[in-house]
Amino acid sequence: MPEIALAWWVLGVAAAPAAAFVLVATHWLLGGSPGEKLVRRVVMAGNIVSLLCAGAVAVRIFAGMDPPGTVEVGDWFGAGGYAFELAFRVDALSITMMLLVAVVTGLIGHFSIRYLHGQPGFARFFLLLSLFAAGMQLLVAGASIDQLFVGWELVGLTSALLVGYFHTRRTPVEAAVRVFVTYRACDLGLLIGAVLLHQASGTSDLALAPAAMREHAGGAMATLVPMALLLAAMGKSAQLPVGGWLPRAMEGPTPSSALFYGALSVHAGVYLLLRAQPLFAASPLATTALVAVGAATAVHGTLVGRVQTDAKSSLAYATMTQVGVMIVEIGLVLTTLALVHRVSHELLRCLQLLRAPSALHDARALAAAGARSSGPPVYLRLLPESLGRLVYHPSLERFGLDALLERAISRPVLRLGLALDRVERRWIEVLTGESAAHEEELPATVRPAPATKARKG
Amino acid sequence: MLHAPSRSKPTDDPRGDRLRAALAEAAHALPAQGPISVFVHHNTLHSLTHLPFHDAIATASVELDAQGYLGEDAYRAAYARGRIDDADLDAALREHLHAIPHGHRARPLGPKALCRIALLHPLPVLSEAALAWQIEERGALARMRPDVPAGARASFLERSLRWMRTQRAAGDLERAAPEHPRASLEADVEGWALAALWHACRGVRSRARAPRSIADRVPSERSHRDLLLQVTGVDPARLVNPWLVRFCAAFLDQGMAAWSMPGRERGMLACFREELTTGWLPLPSAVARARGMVRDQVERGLDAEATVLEALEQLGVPPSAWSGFLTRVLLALPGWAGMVHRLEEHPEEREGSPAPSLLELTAIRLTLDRAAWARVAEEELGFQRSLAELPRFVASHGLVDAPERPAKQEASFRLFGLAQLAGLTAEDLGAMRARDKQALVDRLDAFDELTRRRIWQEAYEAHHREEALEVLHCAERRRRRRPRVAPARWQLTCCIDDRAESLRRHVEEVAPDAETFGVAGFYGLAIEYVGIDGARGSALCPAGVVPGHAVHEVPEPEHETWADARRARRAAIAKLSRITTQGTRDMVGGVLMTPLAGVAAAFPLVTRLLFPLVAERIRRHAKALLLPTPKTSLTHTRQEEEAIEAAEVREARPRGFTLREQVDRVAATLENMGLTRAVAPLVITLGHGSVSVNNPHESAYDCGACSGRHGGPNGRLFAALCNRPDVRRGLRERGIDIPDGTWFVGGLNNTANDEVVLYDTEEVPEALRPLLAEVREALDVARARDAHERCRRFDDTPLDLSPEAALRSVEARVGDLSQTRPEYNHATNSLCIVGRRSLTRGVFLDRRAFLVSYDPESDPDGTILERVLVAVGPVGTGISLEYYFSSVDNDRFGAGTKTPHNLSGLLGVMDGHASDLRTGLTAEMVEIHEPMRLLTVVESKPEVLLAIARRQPKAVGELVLNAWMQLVTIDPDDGTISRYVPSKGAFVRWEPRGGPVPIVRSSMAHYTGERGCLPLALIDEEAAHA
Repeated sequence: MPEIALAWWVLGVAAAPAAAFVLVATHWLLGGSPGEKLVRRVVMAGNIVSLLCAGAVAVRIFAGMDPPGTVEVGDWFGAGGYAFELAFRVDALSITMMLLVAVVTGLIGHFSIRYLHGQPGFARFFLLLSLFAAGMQLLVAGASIDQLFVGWELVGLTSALLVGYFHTRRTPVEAAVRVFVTYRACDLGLLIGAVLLHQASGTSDLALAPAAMREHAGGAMATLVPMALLLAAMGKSAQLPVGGWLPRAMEGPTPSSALFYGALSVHAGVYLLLRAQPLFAASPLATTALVAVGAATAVHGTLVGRVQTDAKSSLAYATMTQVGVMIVEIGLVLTTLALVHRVSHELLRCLQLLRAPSALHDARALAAAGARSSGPPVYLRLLPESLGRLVYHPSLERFGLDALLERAISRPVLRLGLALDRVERRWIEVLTGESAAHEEELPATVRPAPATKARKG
Repeated sequence: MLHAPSRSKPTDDPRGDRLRAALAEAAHALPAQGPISVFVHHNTLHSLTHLPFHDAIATASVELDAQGYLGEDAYRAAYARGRIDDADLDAALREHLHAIPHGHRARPLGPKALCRIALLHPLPVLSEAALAWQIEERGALARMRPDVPAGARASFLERSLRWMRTQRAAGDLERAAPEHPRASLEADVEGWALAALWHACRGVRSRARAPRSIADRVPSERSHRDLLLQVTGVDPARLVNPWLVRFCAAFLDQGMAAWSMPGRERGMLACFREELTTGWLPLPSAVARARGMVRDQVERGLDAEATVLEALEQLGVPPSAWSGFLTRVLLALPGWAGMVHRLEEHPEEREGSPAPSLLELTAIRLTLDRAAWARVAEEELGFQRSLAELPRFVASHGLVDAPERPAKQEASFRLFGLAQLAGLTAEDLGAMRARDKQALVDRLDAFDELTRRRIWQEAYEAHHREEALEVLHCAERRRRRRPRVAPARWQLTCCIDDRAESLRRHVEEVAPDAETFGVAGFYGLAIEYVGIDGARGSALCPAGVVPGHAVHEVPEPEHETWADARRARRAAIAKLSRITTQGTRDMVGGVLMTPLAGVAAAFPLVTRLLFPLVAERIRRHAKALLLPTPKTSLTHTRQEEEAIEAAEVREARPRGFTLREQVDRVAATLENMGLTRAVAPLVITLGHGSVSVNNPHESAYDCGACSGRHGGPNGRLFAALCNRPDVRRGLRERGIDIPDGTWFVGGLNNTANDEVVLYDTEEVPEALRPLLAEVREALDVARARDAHERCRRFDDTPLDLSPEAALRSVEARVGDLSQTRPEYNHATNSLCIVGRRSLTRGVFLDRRAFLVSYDPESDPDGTILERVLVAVGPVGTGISLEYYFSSVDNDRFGAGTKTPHNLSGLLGVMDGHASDLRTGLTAEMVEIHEPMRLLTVVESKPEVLLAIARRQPKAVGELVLNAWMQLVTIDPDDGTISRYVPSKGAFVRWEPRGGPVPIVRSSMAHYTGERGCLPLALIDEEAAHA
């Protein structure tokens, strides 16, 4: 039966890289030390199978052998009378994405074989690469928001782990934590959105949800759900005000920066919004927020990007800018434009990031041929220099967003956590009648300063 | 005004001069590397060459916390591989023990045997916990060390058994090993022997000095940052470094940012103050904390000097400690501080960015640091008083964790291990007096880690030295047996570069009637060169030399239109490429151009990644198709009386050379390489360069004698000058005869893809055309073989390629965006041979040698040699020592792995998004390097060398006498070999050990199928061409 066959092909798109991951990981867990040859063969084979499956799906759909729509594979799991089904959405958008993901991941994998040759983390990189590919395919092909959520989390996890690829140095690890925390906080939006969607519409299928929402849910829900999804997209796609992690994510090896922050991962938010666009259409407030976030990010990114003095940060802000523009496009219901913009931008930025080490060569070639630097934005060149400075310095400071976040969110949260911890200890002390002196279990930063102890003593 | 003028009148403060002096001293600890677009190899510890090599390393290890040798494990691995053998260790130990007083000689273990054991086997000083672990978990007191050789073990046990029996017979068992249960003596001889030995080892202790506490070292050797880091585990520098990195990069940027910092010509400090006092902007909290301080400085109109002086005063740093303290402060970001210093001292490298100042950076650093230090001290230690009191506070509250204290019995345990390895039983030790046992421990203490690694390093170098000298010794005897008579049909001159060694060897194997020479790749022509594709000139001469002449590449008059078309099209392509690269980065441009550029990007993305060779060829063909190549010539000649044109006044250097200058330079270069007679009909003069993609360190692969640039124009210019009849006349007056029928052809060798381009071949006289064709053919075969030989070192390339396939492989390699090892550059260098080619012809030197042609016969008093060594010494040791230090401590002296590198400000690379500038060589560049000091072999007499060393104290003397390179002479008359021994301060006659020297049929026969370093070998040409 053609229906079943299509389901297998679609399943293969995500399952092949997942199988490669499981193979290598099992080999490693069982005590083997996978060599470069084995790892790259298994991972690239998984990638090629995934690409072939995606190609087969594309052929079947575009040749009219199967109709586009939802392909059910079976129930994922059920609870009571409610079942979460494993189903894939097969339409022009998801097929484009499946092909793009398979091609770009394959190219980056191929690139990394030589780029990372001899690196101690070679196997780890390729392991994470196939896990990422599986997650990304699940994300783009999943019919329900639940499946999308699983893919989304896999992408986020691998992303953070690859930022911290050079884990013997401190900065990459700190950057990875920053990425991870931002993702966690914003992914709450996706989780809430998914739960609310289930609650409000009784379905988790993003294609069916808008109609169901209109039928069952009230105005508040119609705004809450897209707003929650917007939060998720803001985290993943580095939008204002949480986008400060993007330049920091350039701590990983060049190919992972290109794959994640030039191409696929950073655009996942755009994909979510494209899928959820009908939900936004039902809420003027959410649409306004969408356009505002995108526009603010685009302006922010273009100003900050201009003053960046290193190759990769400059590209990070360029990416942030264009993603902001795409989000505006989605807000303005220019979804086809946004899709074209997205795909071409992914290819372009991916290439530019892979070529980031050529920046010096390029700059010298341009200078030798007589091309000049573009300078401040045109509109600022009309202003006197002193006013230019008033824009330059904030741009160099990235408009103080990180410092603001630190002051407005991370410090208060930390303080709250410490306060709650103290309260808990006091309760335990009162309830058990024992002194709960577990100083050594506290992290170093929370430990009462030795000097105060010294003074007390 | 928000900012005070930072470079105001010099203050009258008498401390100012002292501060500047202290800062200048501190700057010596900073890397001296300039912007990465011109990468010149230099000795990483250049500022310490006034010290003997090993002393410099000891100094650096204290001041910079850096490693100056490989780890002991690495040396032991080399020993296991056979790259160091027992004879080498003995030789190195002999020299070491000769230099130290003997003191009390403790039998039965002599100092040399003891040192050997300490070298070959780890005998670390253990902490209480580590000792307990060794004893309890690893049963170190019950079983012998696993690294005791089997024979020694058997004899130890046998002798112990015998002694046990005599002891038992005498009823003295209890006294010999009181701790042994004595239940099963015969079954557990090992246990009893060790228990007895351990008992005999008791009672010794280590008398080595404990390291000083860090609190005592602030502020003269360490800063408050080092103290806080050690005490709290929080690095205060991390709170301000990312911000300061961005600020420094923005200030120094040479064109990376589309919009550079406005008003930066006012100076670093003024910009910093403006940035901090722009009130409404939220700053990272540690930086924001400095705001009050900055406002106060601005209000009081403090300049940089006053700011630094005030900071030093507030931190309680006495003037005597300034330089040490400031060194530590600047070492919080050595790369950026070094770049500031470099650009301050070298205005020509600023590329239009404003003058930075190390003093201003210090003022900024100290302002930010005080804020960060105060914050960490407050948050982590609850310390709120003046930072000057911090060291005392830390010391008095006992906050410094003592470095892990050695265990009480660790000295006994070391003696215990030593005895097992030396085959000393409890009986032997029991027979020793207590002070003799203590003497063994003292000797172990004296032979500390740094000393051991030094000995290892010397043995490592000795091994290669002996191998090389044996081969050269044989080659010298072979030369005497078979003097060469037939004159060469053509000659080839290459740079002295070690990479040219293999090319020259293959040329000679392919064309036995050719002769090759090595000369510093700028051909003695220090020029500012402006090519038709270059907007500005670049200096083609060794670093430190200021070119005295400009040479322009100009199109021939009939090709002017082509040249114009080329220029216009290049500008158009540049514009297009700026639009697609820079233009797509901002908001509007990105929206407009991304859809088109993105689709267009798919093509290069796929082809360049999957088919690099095809993409590279397409690129070349497209370039050839789009850009016309006009015929050009070099403006090499000017008349003596020719008026200096306005342009020349502006450039401050004349265009072209006068006839006299030409003759002078050509004569000097020909004399240097000994090409003063028997000039062949055709002479090819090659320069070299290296082209690779996606490689910020590209320039490091270029010609070192041309300041990290391509030396093609020098070879071309030299050939053009040699072809001038006037010049030849002038040369004849000086006794150098270039026959009228001879023609010189310049060229460029691309060392990355083994391409050889010859210039101006259409001017070669008709009669020489057939010979030229023959030469081309020989060069083509030789370069393919060269590629083949190079490929064996790339472990991602199969070993069974044919030479043609190897040539394609290297071609693909240089066009491959993902390739982090485009070539291995000087990674195999270790030798420098100054002498006639007849000595080294037919010797397989494994691409390890700089080959400098020099003819001692025409230079009895060493004047030419002096000229040669003054150029070669610093360049050769610069390369060798940069590789050395980048290998032994890639974290501190090298640039780490290439894979996360991020180009910053067109100045250098960072790890990731805001790190220090990484200087030195990348891990990928040095991974196959064997770090050793350059072994320089000169065909001359020791007394000539010593005289040159005296006359040239900086360029030669220091390097030799302080042992930054090894020097050996081969007497041109009788072939005796002498080595300069630094510990003796004199040359010592070298005697061959007489080991077998490999003789091979051809280069290819020797290296085929091999990846690693090969033994140097003699190539028997007769067999090769039979």
